[in-house]
Amino acid sequence: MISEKDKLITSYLSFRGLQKQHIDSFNYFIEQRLEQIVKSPLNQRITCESDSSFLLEYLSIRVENPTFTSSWDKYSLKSLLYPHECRLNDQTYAGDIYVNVRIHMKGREPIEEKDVLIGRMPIMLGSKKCNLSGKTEAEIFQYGECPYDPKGYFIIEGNEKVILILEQVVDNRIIVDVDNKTDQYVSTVQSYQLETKSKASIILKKNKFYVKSSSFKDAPLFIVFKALGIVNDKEIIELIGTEPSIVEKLLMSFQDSSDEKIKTQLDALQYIGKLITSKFGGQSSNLADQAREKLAQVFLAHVNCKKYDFYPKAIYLGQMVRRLILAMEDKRFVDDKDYYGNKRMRCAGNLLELLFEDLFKGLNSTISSILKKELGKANCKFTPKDVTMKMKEFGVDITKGLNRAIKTGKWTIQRFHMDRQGVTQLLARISYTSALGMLTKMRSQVQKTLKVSGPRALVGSQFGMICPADTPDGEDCGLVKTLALLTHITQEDIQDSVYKIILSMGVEDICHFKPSEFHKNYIVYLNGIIVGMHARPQEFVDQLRILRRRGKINEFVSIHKDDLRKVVNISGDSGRLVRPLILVKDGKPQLIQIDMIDFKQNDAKTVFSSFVKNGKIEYLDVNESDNAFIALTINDVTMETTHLEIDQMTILSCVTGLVPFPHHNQSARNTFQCQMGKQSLGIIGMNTQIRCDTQLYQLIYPQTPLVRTVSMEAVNQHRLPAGHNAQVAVMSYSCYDIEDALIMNKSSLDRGFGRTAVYKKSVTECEINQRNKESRFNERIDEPPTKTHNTKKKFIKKYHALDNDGITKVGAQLHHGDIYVNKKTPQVPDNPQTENIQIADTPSVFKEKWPYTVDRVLIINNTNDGTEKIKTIKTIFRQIRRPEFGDKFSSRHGQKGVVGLIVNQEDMPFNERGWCPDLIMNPHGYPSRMTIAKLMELLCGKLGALEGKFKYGTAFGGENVLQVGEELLKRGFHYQGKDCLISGITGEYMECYVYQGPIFYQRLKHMVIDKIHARAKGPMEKLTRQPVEGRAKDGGQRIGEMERDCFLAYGASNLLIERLLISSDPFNVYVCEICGMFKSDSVCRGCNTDKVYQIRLPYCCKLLFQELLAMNIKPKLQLVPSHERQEYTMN
Amino acid sequence: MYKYNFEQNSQHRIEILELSDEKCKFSFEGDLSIANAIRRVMIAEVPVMAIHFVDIIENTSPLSDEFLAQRLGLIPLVSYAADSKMYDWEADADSIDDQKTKVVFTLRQKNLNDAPLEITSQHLEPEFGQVGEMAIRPVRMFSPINGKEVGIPITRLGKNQSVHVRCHALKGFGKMHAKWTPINIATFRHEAELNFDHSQTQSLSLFEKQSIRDSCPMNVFAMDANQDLIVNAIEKCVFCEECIRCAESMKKPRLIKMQHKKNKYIFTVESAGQLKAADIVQKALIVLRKKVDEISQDLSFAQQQQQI
Repeated sequence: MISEKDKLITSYLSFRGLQKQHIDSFNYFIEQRLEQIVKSPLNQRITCESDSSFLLEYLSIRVENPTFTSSWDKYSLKSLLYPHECRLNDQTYAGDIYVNVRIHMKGREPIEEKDVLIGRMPIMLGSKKCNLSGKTEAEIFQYGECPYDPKGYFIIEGNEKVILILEQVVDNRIIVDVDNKTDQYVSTVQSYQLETKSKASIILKKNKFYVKSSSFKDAPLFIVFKALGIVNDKEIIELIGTEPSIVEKLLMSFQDSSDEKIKTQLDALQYIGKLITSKFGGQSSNLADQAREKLAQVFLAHVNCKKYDFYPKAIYLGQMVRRLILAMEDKRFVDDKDYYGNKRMRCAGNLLELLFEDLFKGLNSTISSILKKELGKANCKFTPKDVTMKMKEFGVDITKGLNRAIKTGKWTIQRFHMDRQGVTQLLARISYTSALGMLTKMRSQVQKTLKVSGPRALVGSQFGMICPADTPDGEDCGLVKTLALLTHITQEDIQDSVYKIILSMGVEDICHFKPSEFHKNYIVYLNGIIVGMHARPQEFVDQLRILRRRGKINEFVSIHKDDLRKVVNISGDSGRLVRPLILVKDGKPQLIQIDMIDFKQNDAKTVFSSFVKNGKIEYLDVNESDNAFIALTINDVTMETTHLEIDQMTILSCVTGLVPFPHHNQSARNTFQCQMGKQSLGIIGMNTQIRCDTQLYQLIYPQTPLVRTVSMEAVNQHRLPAGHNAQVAVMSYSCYDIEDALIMNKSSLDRGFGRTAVYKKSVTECEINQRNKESRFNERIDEPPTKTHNTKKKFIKKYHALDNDGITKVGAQLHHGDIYVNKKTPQVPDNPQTENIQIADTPSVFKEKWPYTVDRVLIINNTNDGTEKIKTIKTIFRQIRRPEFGDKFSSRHGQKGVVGLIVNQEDMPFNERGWCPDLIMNPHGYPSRMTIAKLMELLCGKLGALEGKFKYGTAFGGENVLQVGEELLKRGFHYQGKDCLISGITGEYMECYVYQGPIFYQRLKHMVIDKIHARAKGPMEKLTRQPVEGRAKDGGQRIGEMERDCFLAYGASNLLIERLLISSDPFNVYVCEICGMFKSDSVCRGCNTDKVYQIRLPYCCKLLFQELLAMNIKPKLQLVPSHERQEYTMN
Repeated sequence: MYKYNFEQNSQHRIEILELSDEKCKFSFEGDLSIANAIRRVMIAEVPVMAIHFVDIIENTSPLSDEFLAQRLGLIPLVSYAADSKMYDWEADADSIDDQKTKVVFTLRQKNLNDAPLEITSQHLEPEFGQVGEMAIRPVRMFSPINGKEVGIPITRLGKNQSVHVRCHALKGFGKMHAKWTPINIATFRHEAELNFDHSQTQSLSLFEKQSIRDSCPMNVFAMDANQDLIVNAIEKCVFCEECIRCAESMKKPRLIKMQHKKNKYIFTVESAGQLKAADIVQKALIVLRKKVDEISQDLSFAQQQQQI
């Protein structure tokens, strides 16, 4: 086959990227679905209740490229908006939505209004509507964008937001499953068709079959059949199956209809009409009509029903029952819910589609209610222009709705009673890898708290589609998944072409058969709907696949033959996972070495698509993979093989691709690395210097790893690396290296190892009245106070960093408590004319504990949707951090550790050549973790450094370690990578060899300086008078229950008193000896005594007693003189 | 346990094997503790000059101020004249004479062209001080490709970007910061000692002898005229034990005995450019001597105290 498979992957990813699924989905939404939504019969027209002659008709809709929001007037000049400006200005990267409408009004000619603005649509970066699409790398850089940026996210008010891929159970497919509660088999279909969403299932109660539906209560199966127009019992059984075993199961249900004396369809409809839960429309009181309407619209909604012809639905229902009965007899017929062919991924476009339709309907109903009011008036002066003006006005709701949903991640769709949180997430920009990981992340709908193993398990059908290593541990384990390197998510295919082709290929309409003939041949389903039957299914499937390989039908259409269920499934729906594979014919792969030459001459995209069109490469989805026989490597190809993997490494995700030799590691270690790769600090893009993120980390000297992988290069991770090639000695040194701690060479740190710049942003907003810029009530920034005799030195010192304009100087060093923007806020008095305006100081005070330097200051005049003008000052602080004790580092093998000791270079061990480690790692890290790959990385890295070449540790491939060892030997090194080291302290040779060489180490974002905390005195909680909690509030360290137990067990009772009382909330109260209650002074007037003593107790104890009193419980304190206490306890 | 052997160590001998400005290789006969002390002093305690304070007047380069300062600090400065300078803390605080403690460099560049301008150590200009060979100045760097002087890169300026900084070079030593370390490499190794068990060598076939010779990656062994295995280049031995492994495979595990030779160490010192390699060794010895003197002075003082 081809030796340059790596090139195939690299070129595929070079044009596809890792975020194509998001972009495709968004493009499909903008180009196809928007038009469909607007033109759907339920949305297209707006009528008016008070004026029946009024009609507003939508003709078309389009979305423009993002432009500045500066004006809502369509005639004003608009300049294109680029994403980087949005990030800086806190703007939304959005384009205008325009509709063309035709308005019919009483006494007027129908008028067409063009380009009516109804809102702004957030535009996904990299989509066709994005201003960056089609630009060259150099141009992209000109617009302040990183050419390697993955794109595929939105920018809402300056924040980068990703709509995560959502995993759902497939719609419109029959799934037979075991019900968790009843342990009975259930056959379920979730129908979803444009407007309606419904669920129908067949359940078994006391050996009788019932139809369970969202629109009516459980109805006996036979009655439903009769309502669907199949009145003859024999015919019903024929629809389900005439095998004796099936008929036997049906016998019990058979009696239902005769018991209820239902003979005609009308009887059955009336019976079901009584079962309807929510009344439909409310106008027709006829139960039969309601039932008929429900059956037509809601029940099995995806099965078409023309003119109340229920026959197709009856056939479908028959199939459902048949599947259920077969499953009861033979467990092979039970569908696996976790089977990945039964899952669909919902991308940004699908989710936006739901949201937009809801908002659009909202706009229509608003307009309609306004019209009702306006046109209902006697002297109506409403013109078509006014209507479009109103649309513009209320179009803001669409803009706001879209923005709010993406910003907060709250998806509320009233139509489907959907209320979901956390749909979107802020794009994690800690490292480049974290951003890539986020765009390939998938979330499952299963609840986190459920302690189920099924949906979390890694199943065989996920092979090649989902990364087996990249999932978090803990509650999200297995529910959050990551796409494998080459996985693609399909978009909906226009079904008509496939439908026509399969009809022309010998599929006969099912209605042409007698029901008794249904179960002899294979039934052909198209997107879950029965199309017909075919007598020679294998031939049909083969031919259809040939058509697909020739490009006659969409390359992503899946053709799956299920011999067990005697079904051919053809799917062109959206959200299926597919991946490219090389076709094999007669034991020979179709893609050969010569084909790779094309890449030299042509653009990667055209070459790859030519491979697909010429039947060399094919996309298979999970279902069709079941029909394929896929060879892992070229050596596995036999005559029966149908497909060949492009490369084995593609089963892993881009994040796991960072690990060299992952196939030699214990799997859990790869999983840990996947989490840590997302926390490692490096460089996040080529535009970091002009970005203004809330928090941005940047390694000062990032290095590209010596041991690379092919997948790293395919996604540019080697250009934006996160870490250093540290010289590591695996040995024990001092005892500050226990429990994974690392020893660092001080000279390496001096020279820049692990040095990181941390940038933090702070925002100061000044509210300025847009109409009156000179208003006295506007917030303003004042110059710093000047030194006078009265001012105290301390007071002036706070203002040292300020320039004359009241904003901090670039390059100034800020300490805790310094002021960096000297803002003043006028207090609006009750009577502005007479009273003087009080001006309050509302400066921005620097709150970080350690000094930062001012890096940049951005002053932005922003209009927030044209309503209020805000002057925003963004200050970016910088701090350079050198590694110190306790900072966290990790290799690429899930081996994290903290710095335990920093050692001078002269004390470090060295070898005869003068080599000296940057970092010493304790060998105890190896045996239990079994990270063999780390040993291999070191060996390959050592040779790579000697040769001056990068080495490859690609998954399931990479360098041969034996050869590497031999090469090392040739260069005068030990073939196992060991070296003789000399102790830097004594100068003696070490008694053993030391495994040493370069390993790529990542600095993780957890740094001591962000976590260090101590306090002696400080703020107290108001209510309990105990120390507050948390580092941010300068809180105390809690002695919790378990810590208290330790002190108790040890017997340190005085320490306990000191911690829990004296240092916490001591309080003195007077207590009356007689009544045992608290008194305000030393006299108890109730008991008329002065036997009132002062005692000390925790304030919260006093609080408890008082709260108890408030609840009518009297806690009585019994006082005992302290000298008698011993005696008292003994009694 | 290590023991100091007074008798053996009464004589210390140094023999120079290789000498150039950059590199000095010598054998040292004497005690290990002294050998290691020399090495440690060379790394950490030989004083040289390095930029320590940087006044940033203007910096619009892509690198932040701290980053720039760190890079400036790591530029090696020719420090032949370091001896004549005082440490910052030694100088009299009242009468600060900059000339005594430091050298000041200015770096002032602005790029007016479209092409990026690379700022290197060549752009550093001394404000005062001597000129000529003895002057404190950045180490010259030559391109490995064409031998031209290129300078050590500091930063790059885009159009209209500029840097204007004043750098104060102070005297210091490697313990304080790696930038004051005068060496790239200061290492020693024990001379190897390879002995054949002659009772076994006789039984070796020619092929076996050859394979032992070829097993060594560093070509330590050779064959003499009598086709006998001899140790030809003992100084090359890196203790990889390949020869022993080879002998083991011939079922003769005790054929070769490998040992560290006691009391003889081969030093390799490579200068980073601040000082000549030989000077580093000499200065290290002076520092060491001074330390020993201090101790003996202290000791005699203590003795005196006790006697009183």
